[in-house]
Amino acid sequence: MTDRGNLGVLPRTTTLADESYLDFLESFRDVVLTKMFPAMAAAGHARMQQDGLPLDDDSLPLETIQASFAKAAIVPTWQRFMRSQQEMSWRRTRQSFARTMDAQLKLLEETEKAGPGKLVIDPAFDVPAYARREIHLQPGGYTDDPISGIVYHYGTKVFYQGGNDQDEMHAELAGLATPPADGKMDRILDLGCTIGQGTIQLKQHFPDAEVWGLDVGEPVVRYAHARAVKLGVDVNFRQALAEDMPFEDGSFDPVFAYILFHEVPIEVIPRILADVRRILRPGGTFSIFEFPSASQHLPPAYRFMIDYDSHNNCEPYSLGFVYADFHGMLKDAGFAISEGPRSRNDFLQSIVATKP
Amino acid sequence: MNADNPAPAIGEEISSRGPTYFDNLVLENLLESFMELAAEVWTIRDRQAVLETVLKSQGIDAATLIEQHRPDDAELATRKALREEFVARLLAGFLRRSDSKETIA
Repeated sequence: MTDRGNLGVLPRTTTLADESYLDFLESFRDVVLTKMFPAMAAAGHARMQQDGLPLDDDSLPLETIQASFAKAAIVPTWQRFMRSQQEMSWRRTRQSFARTMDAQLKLLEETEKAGPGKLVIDPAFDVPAYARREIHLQPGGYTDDPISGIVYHYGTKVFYQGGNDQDEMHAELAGLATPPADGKMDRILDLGCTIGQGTIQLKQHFPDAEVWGLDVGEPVVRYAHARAVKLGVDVNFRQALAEDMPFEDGSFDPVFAYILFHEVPIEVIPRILADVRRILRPGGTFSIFEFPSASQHLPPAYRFMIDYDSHNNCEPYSLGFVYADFHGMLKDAGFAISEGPRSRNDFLQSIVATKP
Repeated sequence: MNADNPAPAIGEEISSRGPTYFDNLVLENLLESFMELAAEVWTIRDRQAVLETVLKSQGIDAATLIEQHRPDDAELATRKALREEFVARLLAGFLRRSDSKETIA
């Protein structure tokens, strides 16, 4: 096949037809999210008001909200469009890169031992069943498709509606990572790094630090490493569990996590928090950008959307997170918490948890 | 990978029946078909635009040549196979959910 090269730091699909098809879906998704969702929210809220329901009562059962929303004609159409665009996007992305599967795998193998950074894979590592889900409908999820790194990379181009083609969003978030009060940033961890977009951006912001990315998915950290090698960025990647990290006590200054916690079962979260506290040195910070949780007021349309997303976009753990007292869990784990800097993504909460 | 914890079939989420949102299944299938069709229309328009630009840069008047073109049997067979693949994709939604869950296992 003709090598179609890259779009900056993003790989191109293997054919123009794939690129055009996925461009269409990117624009389609943008309309469904930025135009149709507000219209659906307005229609649903209007139906709730017609039914004599308040819009600011957080104790209102979800089923009551859903019953009112179901009366609005736009609702099932929005649901169908959301599901189908996501399915079509993964189907075509996987199909495109599967055409060059052998070359993709060869590249991962060839760069495995290359520097400047290291890749650490433990052959005896057992992926827990909870992590082996097709999160966001991605075929094989983060763990079971050997080319899931490149598939995730291009699939999330569509997911972010073109707003992260050159890792712009990861650059913004890395710039918002909160350093410890004494400013010492010798060793940084990107927890749940997937393909290392944030890890690389953390290195760009803190070039003198030793930066690590950790993720449960072997194919994604292998791709993350290959990509860092290609870009010549000195960052390290390791496949491991966030709740059982192969790092020394007190060995990191800050830890950074972007949308990790809603993708793990609620019972695993306290174990992750305990292990992050363990590997942070006293005064170390944990910068978290994450889905909203129980401590925040959510309009009914957001509650409707999050529930829909959980059940229809393979987010099996997000509801557990959204209705949990995450701030309380952080305090129970021994962190002092404060509100972190806001990002352009309004939906995300930002927390800085500090180890005393 | 762990033998006690076998991997699910890759792509199960996007190839199984999947969730539905309307009382009338035909609406589900029509909307899915509409999206496939729209994606295909855009893909063709995009390719056509690229093609015409590329040809123009080579001094070729594609519009006239296309009208004058007469395909041979091999080309016809190739085009038929591509067309059939497209139609199958366009209609996949109707086959995927041919009746209510209660009627079809």
